[in-house]
Amino acid sequence: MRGRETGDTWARRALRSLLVALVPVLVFLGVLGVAPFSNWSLNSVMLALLVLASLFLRFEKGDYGSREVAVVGALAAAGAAGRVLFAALPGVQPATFVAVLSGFVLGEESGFLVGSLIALLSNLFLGHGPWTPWQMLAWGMSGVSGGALSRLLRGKIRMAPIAVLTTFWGFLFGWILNLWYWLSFIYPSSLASYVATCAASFWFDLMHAAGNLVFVLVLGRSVAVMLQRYRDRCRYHYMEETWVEAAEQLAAVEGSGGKEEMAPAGTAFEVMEHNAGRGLGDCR
Amino acid sequence: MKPLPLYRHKDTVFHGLHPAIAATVVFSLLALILLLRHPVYLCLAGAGVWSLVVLADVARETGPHLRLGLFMALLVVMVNPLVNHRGEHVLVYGPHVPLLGKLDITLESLVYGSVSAFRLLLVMMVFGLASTAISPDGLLDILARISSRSSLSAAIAIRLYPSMVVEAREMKEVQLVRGERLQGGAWQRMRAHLPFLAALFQGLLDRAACIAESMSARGFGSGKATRRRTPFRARDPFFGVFSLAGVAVVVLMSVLGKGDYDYFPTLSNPLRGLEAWAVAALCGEFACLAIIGWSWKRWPWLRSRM
Repeated sequence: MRGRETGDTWARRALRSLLVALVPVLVFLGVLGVAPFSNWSLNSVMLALLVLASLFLRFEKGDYGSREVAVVGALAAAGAAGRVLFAALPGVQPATFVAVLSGFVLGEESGFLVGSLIALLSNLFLGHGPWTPWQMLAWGMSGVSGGALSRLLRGKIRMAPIAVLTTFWGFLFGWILNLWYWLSFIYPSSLASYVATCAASFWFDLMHAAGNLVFVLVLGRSVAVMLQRYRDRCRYHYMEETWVEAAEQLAAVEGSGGKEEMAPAGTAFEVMEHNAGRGLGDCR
Repeated sequence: MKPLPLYRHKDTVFHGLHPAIAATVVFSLLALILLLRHPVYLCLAGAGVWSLVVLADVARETGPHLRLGLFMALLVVMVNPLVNHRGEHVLVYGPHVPLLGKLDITLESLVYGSVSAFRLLLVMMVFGLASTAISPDGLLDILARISSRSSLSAAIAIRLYPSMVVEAREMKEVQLVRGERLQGGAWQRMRAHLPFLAALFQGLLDRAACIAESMSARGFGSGKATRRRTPFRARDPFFGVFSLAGVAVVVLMSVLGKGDYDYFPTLSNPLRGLEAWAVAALCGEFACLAIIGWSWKRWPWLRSRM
């Protein structure tokens, strides 16, 4: 797998920089009241899409390999399936739980992608709506917060902080989703009207938070351990130098020709490497 | 648990559009609904959305969107008069509530809430159209040009989802054959399902590892990926040009400060803020799209050319 292209071409780098630069520009134009950016219902959607696009492009920048791509897809499928499975219960959905645990074990970027892909994928089955970009953003950020929590806990699985985080995300998710609804359809856009909007969705948010808590308490540890095992399984690194050294040592011990016999040209030799960093790190 | 997405291919002009063009049409409708708040323009947008829904033959499929939209619209109608006490015509004098103030309900805030609810319904219909008439695979193809790895993850997720459902069914049958009681109360069901959820998750991770191995074996990341390209057809420029023209009209109106309507302190005359050229342009756009769609269905010669 050496020599793999990162997919980060100059065009993508330029596009990413442009998208990042456009975010403050849109906010500035909106605050100044320049039409059509003064219309926050459209402006906020464009901002959400810009943030999502720039973060998605970061996935191209990182040196992600087949294992990361596959596991992100698999976790997104799991979260989406869980969401569709529990669709009959309003607010109860394991998507936040899957996103937070993915971020916790695999790192912030993978957590973001898992969270945002859960929203994108599950809405193919449940139906897209104006909520899709906000759900992608909110679940993506829950994945990022899982990664941040893991840094705080130095990677140790502690269920109490994870449970507090996922329960909190039950409410925060609803508040983020209410933003667009509030900006677009409620007048005037004041704190009181935002509180009233959040009050209207309180029971859904409460159900979401309670569902997250139950998922973490019942399934949290086993899922986290499974993910950690998968991550450890992926901690391989192509180390040509190590192979050469090992072959030389063996040849020296055995005295003759072992090097050629044991090292046919082009053979890849993978060794387990302890990854001090986060997530799947640079081992793939 | 449904293993199938909402999208179904149908023999209509909208389903036959290039996904990028179909997305442009949807975006132009959204821009019209979100940028213009005048009730007459919103009614025009409603006619446009409905004609496209009929053209795409997805009126029944967008039913769930409409039902959910009605529920959300009801909330909009309820919340607006409660938090907005502007307007001169007070219909009901309410009590004083901390944080919300005096809960007087005015005619103007009620009308504003109703028009906002209508806008929300239109937005829901547009997304219903997008969900049921634009191919997700086509959209992923477009995403792949910008971000290939994330679109590949999404494609893997889409393909893993139905196999997960099948696997879950099989495991459930095995459990039933073994004599497990999967029925009963919520707690009983949850306890019975837990071992198989964990096993399902483990199986999913194993499958991800297998996919990763096969991707590596096929040289993932070692060169430029091959991609399926959806060709542009003759019908695409028509829809693309009309949609972009619609966006241009809407943005121009927004820049000129037209397209808004004064709800407060009293409702203004709905005919006063109207611009004849804008109404004509939007009517023309929707009429052209409807005529193309209708002709495509009824006129084989045109269909063969497009």
